[in-house]
Amino acid sequence: MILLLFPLFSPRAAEAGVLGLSLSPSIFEANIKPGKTITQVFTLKNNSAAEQTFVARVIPFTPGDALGNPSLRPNLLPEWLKYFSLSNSDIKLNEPFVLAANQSTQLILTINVPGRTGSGDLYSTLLVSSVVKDTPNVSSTMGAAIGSNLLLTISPLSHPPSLVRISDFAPTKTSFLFRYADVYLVDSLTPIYFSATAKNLGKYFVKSAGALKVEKNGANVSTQNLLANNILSNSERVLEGSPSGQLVYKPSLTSFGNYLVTLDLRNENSSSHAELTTLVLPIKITAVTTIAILVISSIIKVNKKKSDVKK
Amino acid sequence: MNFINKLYQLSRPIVAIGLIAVLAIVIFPIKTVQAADMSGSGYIIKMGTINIVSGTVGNSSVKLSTTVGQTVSGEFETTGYRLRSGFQHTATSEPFSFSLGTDAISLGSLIASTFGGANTTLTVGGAGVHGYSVKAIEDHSLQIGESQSTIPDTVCDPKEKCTPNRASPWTSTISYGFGYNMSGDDVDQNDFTDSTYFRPFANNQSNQVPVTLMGKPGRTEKATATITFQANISPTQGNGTYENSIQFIALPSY
Repeated sequence: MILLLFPLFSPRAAEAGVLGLSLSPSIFEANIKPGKTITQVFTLKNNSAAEQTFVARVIPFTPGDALGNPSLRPNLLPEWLKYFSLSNSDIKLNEPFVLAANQSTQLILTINVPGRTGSGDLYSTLLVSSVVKDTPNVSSTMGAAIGSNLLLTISPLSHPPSLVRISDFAPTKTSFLFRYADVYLVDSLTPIYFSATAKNLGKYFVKSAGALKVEKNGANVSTQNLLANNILSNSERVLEGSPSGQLVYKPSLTSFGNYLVTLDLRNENSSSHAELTTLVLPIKITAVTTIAILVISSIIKVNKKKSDVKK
Repeated sequence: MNFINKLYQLSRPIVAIGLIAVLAIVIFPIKTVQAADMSGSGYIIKMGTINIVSGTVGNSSVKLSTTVGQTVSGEFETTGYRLRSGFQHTATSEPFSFSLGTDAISLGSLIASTFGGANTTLTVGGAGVHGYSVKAIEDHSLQIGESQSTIPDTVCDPKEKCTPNRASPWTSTISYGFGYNMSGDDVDQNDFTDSTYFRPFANNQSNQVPVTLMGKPGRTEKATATITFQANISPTQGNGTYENSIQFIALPSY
């Protein structure tokens, strides 16, 4: 069934050359009431050096990992695939069409949700594949495909209920020196990187809106917003900080003592909270100072001994 | 001699300070500072809504990156839908794109027990803030037409068998088959440790699923990797043109 990924065969002599395409936007999210129809326009461009034949398909996917990578399921043929169609006059889903080199076209995707459709999420990818050309006397002919993820929530509610929980919130292994219960001993000059995962136990996808905050004695020391990643229904997602993707707190030279680190996830109608304590100590500064004192005092002692001997 | 002694004594503290400096550098390594989105003489201000119009506007002192379109609040009850697409936080300067250096590769005339190969590039652009992955699958092993005569998918060196999901060294010329090595941006260096590490392609005929060749979580403006195809045939391999098709699939992360 994975053969569905392979475009229709189109015999045609061709010279080997760059094969490329682009598709925009790369993600489309919608919350639709049953009985409604929506339309989204995608721009497809043939970046190849020559004319290419393409096929557009809608393929269901499931969460492939906790990093937001979809796992295409071309062998799944759910009834709801019939909700999708292209409103273009000359391009249809699952049928080949031709684009000249560097030509762009718009794919007008229409999603028609029947009135009696049950509530829930539908995850799929609009996949546009190049048709593999029949090139004589070569070992492997190659096709390129590109996707745009479609995340649909079917619900009569504007903000359907969500249930998200934070799990595994902790500093990364290299960020702390010692752990006792939920207290982590860290150095004041070492950035503290955190890892955390969010579990969506609900029926609908949600965004990982929230923040990582560091407080000392109730006063805010640092705030880092989370990247608004999508957490699909019944799946996990690694939480990332904005803008670098890393959840990180960098203590200053003067940082010393207990710091409360909290991680909050909040959505329109749910929230989740996790916290831990870091004990920040100037371990590296102390080590260097101690070594410096030892070295200098040894030199002074040696010099003093030498001068005593001379006398 | 007296002068040399004085010079020696004077140099001791300098050596000590030098030693301390070296220790300090070892313990407090200098790190580069990275910043994003804010630079130069102006500002970049980001707002999020649905794109009907989007882009960066401004003059030499101020830059505004903005979107214009349907607002979310209050729309659902009247329209029956709420949309988000191409919203600001995933915006990049270019659309999500994928290209192959060539649409066909030739391994040439293969000589028994001698590695033959070819390579091309995979380039991904505009993957946005969530990241991307590129996967691949072959329709079947290299074969002559519809016949049963095939060059098998490699298992690499016999002692460390590679699979579509795990690379291993392939240096033995008595190990026959067809496979690939990856190098470059966003390739799993723990798997493709060096140029001797290969994998067979996932095989559609064996009901295998496409396997990730390169990918990265988080923002990616542009990434380029090289795929090197390699084949080795046995002395009993029949003459002919062996062919297959390989599909490369670039998917943005959600």
